Amino acid sequence: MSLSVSLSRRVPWQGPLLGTGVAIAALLLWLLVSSLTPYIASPGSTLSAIAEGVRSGFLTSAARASLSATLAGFALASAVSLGLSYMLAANSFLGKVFTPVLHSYGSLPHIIFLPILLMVFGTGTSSKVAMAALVAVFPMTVNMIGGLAAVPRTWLKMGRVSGGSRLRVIAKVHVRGALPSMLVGLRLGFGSAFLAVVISEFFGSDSGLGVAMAAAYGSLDYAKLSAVVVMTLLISLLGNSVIRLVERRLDT
Amino acid sequence: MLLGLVAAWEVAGRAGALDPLTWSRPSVIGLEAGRLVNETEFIWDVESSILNIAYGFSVGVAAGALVGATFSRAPTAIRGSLLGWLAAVQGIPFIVFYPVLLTVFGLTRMPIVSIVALVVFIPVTLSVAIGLSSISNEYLRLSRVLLLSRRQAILKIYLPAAVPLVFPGLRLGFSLALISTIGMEFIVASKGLGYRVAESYHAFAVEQMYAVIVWICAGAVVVNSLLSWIEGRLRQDAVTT
Repeated sequence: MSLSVSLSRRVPWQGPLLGTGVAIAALLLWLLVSSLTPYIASPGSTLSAIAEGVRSGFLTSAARASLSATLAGFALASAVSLGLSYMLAANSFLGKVFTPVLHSYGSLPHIIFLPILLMVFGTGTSSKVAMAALVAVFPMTVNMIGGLAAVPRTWLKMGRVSGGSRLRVIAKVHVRGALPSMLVGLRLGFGSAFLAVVISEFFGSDSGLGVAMAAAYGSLDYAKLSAVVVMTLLISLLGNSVIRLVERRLDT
Repeated sequence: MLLGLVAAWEVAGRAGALDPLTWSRPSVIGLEAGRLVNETEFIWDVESSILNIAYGFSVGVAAGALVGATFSRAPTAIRGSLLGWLAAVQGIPFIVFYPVLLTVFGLTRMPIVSIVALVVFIPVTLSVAIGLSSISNEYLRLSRVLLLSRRQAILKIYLPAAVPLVFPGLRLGFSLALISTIGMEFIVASKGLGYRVAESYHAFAVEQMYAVIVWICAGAVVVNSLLSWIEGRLRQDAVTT
C-alpha cells in the first residue's frame, strides 16, 4: 500500500497506466474465454444483464439487502474490536494471555459457524449480520492493537499532564494515534464482512446478492450469474477504495 | 475460561435451558467426535479437504515463487508496479468466482483448487519478490568469493537467506487456502469437511455438525500454532546468524 503510494509519487503516470493496461488485458481475456465456453457470459451480455437487473430492481434490492447487513455487522464488529483492542493493549497481562487466542481464532474458517447462527437467529438478516461481525472482528482487532501499540508514550504522558480525564485521553490521544492502523483494520474488516454476508446468503437466506447468485447458478442463467458476480466485485472494490482514499488523505 | 464456558454449556444443556436441537451438549459432541474418527466417510472428507488444500497450495506456491523470483531480479520500478498492483488485487474476493467456475468445471475438485491456487499465489508472489530482492549484496559477494557454482550459490546461500523472509507469505497463503477451501466446500461441494458441516445441518444431525466443527477448529488451531512455532524458530535463526 505505502509502496504503491511512494511509487505513484515518483512516476505519476505509471500506476494508472499499468492499472488501465491490466484492466484492458483482463477484459480481453474475459472476451476470449467467454467465446470458448458457453458457461461464461461475455462482457456484453453481462452488461445487459446488469442493466436489466437494475431496471427490474432485483439487482439493486439484492445489493441493498447485502450492504445493509454488511454495515450492521461492520458496526457491531467495530464496537467490539474497539473495546477488545483497548483492553488487550492497555493491560499487558490480558494482552499476553489473549493474543495467541485471538490469532488462533483468526485462523479458523469462520463460515462453518453459520449453521449454528442460522439455528439460533433463523434465516433472516440477523444471522448474516452476526456472521459478518464474527469474521470482521479479527482483522479489525489485530490492526487496532497494532495501532494502539504504536501510539508514542510521550503523547500519552502529554495527555495526562495536560489534565485530561481517562476518557478524554482515550478519545483524543489513543484513537488519533492509532487511526492510520485502525483504518487498515476497518478496510480489511469491511471487505471480509461483505464477503461473509454474500457467502452466508449463498448458503441460505431470504434476500441479498448471495441469494441472487445461488438462484442464477441454480437456474443455469449464466448472464445473470455473471452480472451478480460482477456487481459483488464492484461493491467490494468500491468499499475498499473509499476507505483507502481516507487512509491516503490521512497519510499526507 | 474456555473450560468454564464448556461447563456452563453442559449444565444449561442438561437442565433443559437450551434447546437440544439447536445447542446439543459438549459431552454428546465429544462422543460424536470420537465416533467420527472411526467412520470411513469422515476420513474421506478429511482426505478430500487436505487434497484440495494441498493441490491448490502447491500450484499457488509454485506459480508465486516463479513469478516472484523473476520479478525480484527486475528493475525496481517494474518490481514496484507489479507489487503495487498485486497489493491492490489482494482486495478482490476471488471466492465469488466459485459459482462461475462450478458451471464450467462441474462439481469436481477443479474449481476449489483453482481458486485456492489464485488466493495463495498473491501473498506468495509478494513475499518472494520482496524477500529475494532484499537479500543483501554481501551474500552475493560471499558466493563469488567462495567461487560457488550457480547451483551451489542458490542452494547454500540464497535459499537459507530467503526462507525467513518468504515464510510469512507462505504462512498467510496457507491460512487463506484452508479458510477458502472449507468455505467453498461449505457452500457447494460433494465432499470435504466443509460439505460435511453443511450436510449435517441440512439433515438436522446437530451432534455430528458440532463434532465436525470441533474437528475443523482443532485442526486449524493446531496447524496455526505449528506455523507460528516454525516462524518463531526461523526468526531466531535469522537473528543469530
